Amino acid sequence: MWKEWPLVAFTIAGQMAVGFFLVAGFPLFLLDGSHAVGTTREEGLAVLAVVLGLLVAAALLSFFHIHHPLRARSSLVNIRTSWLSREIFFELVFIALVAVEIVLVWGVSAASGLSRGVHVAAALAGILFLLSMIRLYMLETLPLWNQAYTPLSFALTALSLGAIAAGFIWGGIFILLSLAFVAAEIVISFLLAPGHGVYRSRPTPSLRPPADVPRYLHPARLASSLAGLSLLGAALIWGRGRAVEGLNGKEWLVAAFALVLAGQLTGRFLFYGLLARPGR
Amino acid sequence: MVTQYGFFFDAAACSGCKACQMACKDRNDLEPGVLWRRVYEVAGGGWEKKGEVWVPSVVAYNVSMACNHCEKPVCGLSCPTKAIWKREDGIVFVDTDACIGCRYCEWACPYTALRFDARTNTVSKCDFCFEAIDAGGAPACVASCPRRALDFGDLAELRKKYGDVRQIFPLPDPSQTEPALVIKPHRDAARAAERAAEVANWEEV
Ligand code: SF4
Ligand code: SF4
Repeated sequence: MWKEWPLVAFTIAGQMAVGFFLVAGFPLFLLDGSHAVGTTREEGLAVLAVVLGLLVAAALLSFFHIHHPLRARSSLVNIRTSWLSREIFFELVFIALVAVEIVLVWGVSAASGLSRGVHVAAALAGILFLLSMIRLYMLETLPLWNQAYTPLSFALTALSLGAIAAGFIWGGIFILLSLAFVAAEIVISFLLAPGHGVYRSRPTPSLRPPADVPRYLHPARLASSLAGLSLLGAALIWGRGRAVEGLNGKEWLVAAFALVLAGQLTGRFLFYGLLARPGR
Repeated sequence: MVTQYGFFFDAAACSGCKACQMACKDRNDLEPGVLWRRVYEVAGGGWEKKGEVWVPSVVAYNVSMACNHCEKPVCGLSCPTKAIWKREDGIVFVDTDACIGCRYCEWACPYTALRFDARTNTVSKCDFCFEAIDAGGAPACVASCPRRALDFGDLAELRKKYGDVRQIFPLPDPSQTEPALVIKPHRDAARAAERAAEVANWEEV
């Protein structure tokens, strides 16, 4: 299970990039001369830079997962039938469009029609990247992953981490949004991933060996997310309005982010741990 | 001309000696831990009360399994590099020069036929002993079985000879990959699920 750390890191970083772009990028899309929803161009650029940084980090981390990184280029050749090829393709398109948007917002204007067009195209690429990431685990031959939990948890990882990060910049409505997403994530983990808590769980009949998932990880993951949820509530109370006004709100948010992220990482290790690969 | 090679496995005849597993390892010079053919020991049941008497309800049989050179090879359909391909005669190959070692196909194949080989840093699997076949011989596993529990040939011919059963417990639903496989079931197989049978030798497969 632990040996899947590059995949855990890749999927979480990639999903966070998508979520941050979609949630925090929304005010950027609305940005006009009058600083829509209080957004400055610098804040917009900061959002785009973080998204790009996360995507590049995700791409680099994925190299630790493959055993012939120098052949990585050929992973795009089977777009016709492989969701893995599609995932890589859409990630590259997403990276390119975010980079173009940075150049446009920096050099031209966030309010230009062109940068808004690029923003919408990048959002679409990000969504397709997330969908391919979900779909590649939902094969008929993988009953443990081919369930509602996979799309829901991947999407909620993106949205909750993205919304907390947006809350850090803009506070207010974004903290409320992150509360809703994290709560939803906890509910689906509790209801739809009970197998994650059961040692040696797997569907039978199967030629796949039983999963070797430590039993304590499922409750630990729920506890971490619940603690993060409580801190988000605290951040909402202490950092009313724009979080920047009360430093307290920001500190709560950083702690909440760390706890929710720890919950997501644990949940993702469990996810991969469920499907053991026989042999080495 | 053969359009789809396939294997036949007689679960009623297999004694679980694992000669096929070892012949495969030997012929292909596989590293410890890399198994292209495995023999799963299926075991379950116990005692059942019938009227006033307790009778044994033991389930015990073996399943010898390699790559089934599927007609719908999900391994190849999932591979991002097209490193898994199907020859005209249906044999499914891994091109180790194209494989990037992402190990996605290992998850996709429900028969766990693909195994990571640390020597090449790629996946590897049964190639149907294609060199022997091309020279008119037989796969090592088939040739080695002392109980003649394995056979191979054109899938259409195998079906004519042995019927069309493709699944026994604990194999997956064959509609997932359309395996080129014909099985003669062991008499215990029909009640394996209800008697909570399980593979009993995970450390060996
Ligand atoms: S048994 Fe597995 S590896 Fe072999 S062709 Fe079918 S899906 Fe591919
Ligand atoms: S491990 Fe190799 S053969 Fe398997 S999916 Fe990845 S590139 Fe393809």
